[in-house]
Amino acid sequence: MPPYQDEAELVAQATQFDRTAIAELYRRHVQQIYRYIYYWVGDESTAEDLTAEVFLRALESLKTYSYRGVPFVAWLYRIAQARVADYHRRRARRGEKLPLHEGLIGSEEDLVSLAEHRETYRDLYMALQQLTAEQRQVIVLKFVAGLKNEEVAYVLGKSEGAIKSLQHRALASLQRILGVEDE
Amino acid sequence: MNDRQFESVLDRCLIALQSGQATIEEVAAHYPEHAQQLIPLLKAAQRAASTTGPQLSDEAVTAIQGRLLQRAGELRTRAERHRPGAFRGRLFHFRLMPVALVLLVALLMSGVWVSSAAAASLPGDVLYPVKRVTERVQLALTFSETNRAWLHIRFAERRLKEVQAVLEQRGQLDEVTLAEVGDETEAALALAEQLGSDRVEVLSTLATLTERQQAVLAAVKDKAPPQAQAGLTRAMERSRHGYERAQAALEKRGEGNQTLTPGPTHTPEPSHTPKPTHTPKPTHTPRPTQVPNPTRTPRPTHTPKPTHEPKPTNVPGGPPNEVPAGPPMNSPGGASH
Repeated sequence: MPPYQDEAELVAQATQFDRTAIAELYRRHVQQIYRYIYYWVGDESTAEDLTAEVFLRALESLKTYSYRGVPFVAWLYRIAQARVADYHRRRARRGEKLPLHEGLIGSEEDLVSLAEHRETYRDLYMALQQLTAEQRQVIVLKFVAGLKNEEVAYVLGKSEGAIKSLQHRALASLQRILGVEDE
Repeated sequence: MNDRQFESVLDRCLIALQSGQATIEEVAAHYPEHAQQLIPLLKAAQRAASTTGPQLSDEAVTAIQGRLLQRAGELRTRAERHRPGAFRGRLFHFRLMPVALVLLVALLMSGVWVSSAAAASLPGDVLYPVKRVTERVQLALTFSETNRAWLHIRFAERRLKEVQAVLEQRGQLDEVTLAEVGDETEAALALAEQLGSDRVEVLSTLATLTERQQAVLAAVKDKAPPQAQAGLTRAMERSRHGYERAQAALEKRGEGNQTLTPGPTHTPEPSHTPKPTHTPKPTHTPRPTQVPNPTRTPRPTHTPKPTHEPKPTNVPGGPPNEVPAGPPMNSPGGASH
């Protein structure tokens, strides 16, 4: 059983730079944040670097976080969103393109199950690239990360009504790209 | 049913589906007139939700956690140092008592000597805490945000020089001081981002500072022992982030191309205008003593009058070739020990 039941209490402890609380918060959310970033950069190694940046940035800004009904992870997603945007700006400035296949097909991986697993999320990643940025945000935050409408609205700075509308358009595009009506 | 109503129906179906208590067909059956439209959308949502995505390896999770906890330790040390009352508490700490006494006696004997000796001290030296206390006092007595930013820049430079000196003299990496290089830089960045007219100048200096830090750290890394490599890599990475942060702040307002342009604070102050003390006086007017040809004695009435005597002009903002006045801490890179 984790030493902290309530996340708000955990965050309060982390604000005092309590190592146990920081480690617990990190362990709870690291995989979610990593996956979110991955679906924006398409490269596992870059996603790893940016994940580290997100948690370090969060640690330094912990005092600015206050619990107002929005979970801590939604706040982390906001930081992740900013880091990803910053990453894309840097790449654009250097004239680099997105690594569409980079890191998706592992050359060192021999395990068939892992290869198949990668194939599945590669398909989703490729499909997401064809959506608009806002549609992609909604799909990843709502269905990959599992956030509620109000939490997605907080991360994207939009109203819940706008999220429902975006969700509809995003799913319509996604089903066309994935061809799910033929299944 | 309009679009908004359909969006609400879709949302209700998604919530029911996410609860895991019904299948797509069962959920869609509640809205038979829209089932055909709903089912592909719900399938697309299910496909996205069932894709678990990549997993960060255990090694990577542990490595990032290590960095995070190390940074937490640094931040806690810094927070304790800046806690109200920490100054007084520390001054009377038993380890600092001899230092305080030394300071008192030395001040009585020769304030100048202590000041210069402390400035040259390195971490671990007896007088080093005096140097740090002096810096804290200096910071506490500086109320302008711009000047505080310049002070942090100066201290960041000092800490880096101390790291270099300790490594050269004692062959060991002082990780605490190394972390303080980043702390001071980030403190300056945080202030600079909030500044008004001095913002560009301070941020440009910070961009240059962090670039130089990376170069110095890379040189230090080449000479450092193997156990110091990880700490130096982290410091370089932190410095790189600082550089990117300064650049991003400059670009935010389209100031990225102005990094080398001096800001308005470089305007020479009127006090630097030289006084017109060098104006030639009429008394220097050459006398016609050197006029040759004694055969035709010139009359002394031809002596030229000082009609072209330059007047002491009112220089509006100082002469154009005058060295502009720098920021309060004019040479952030020139901090001396």
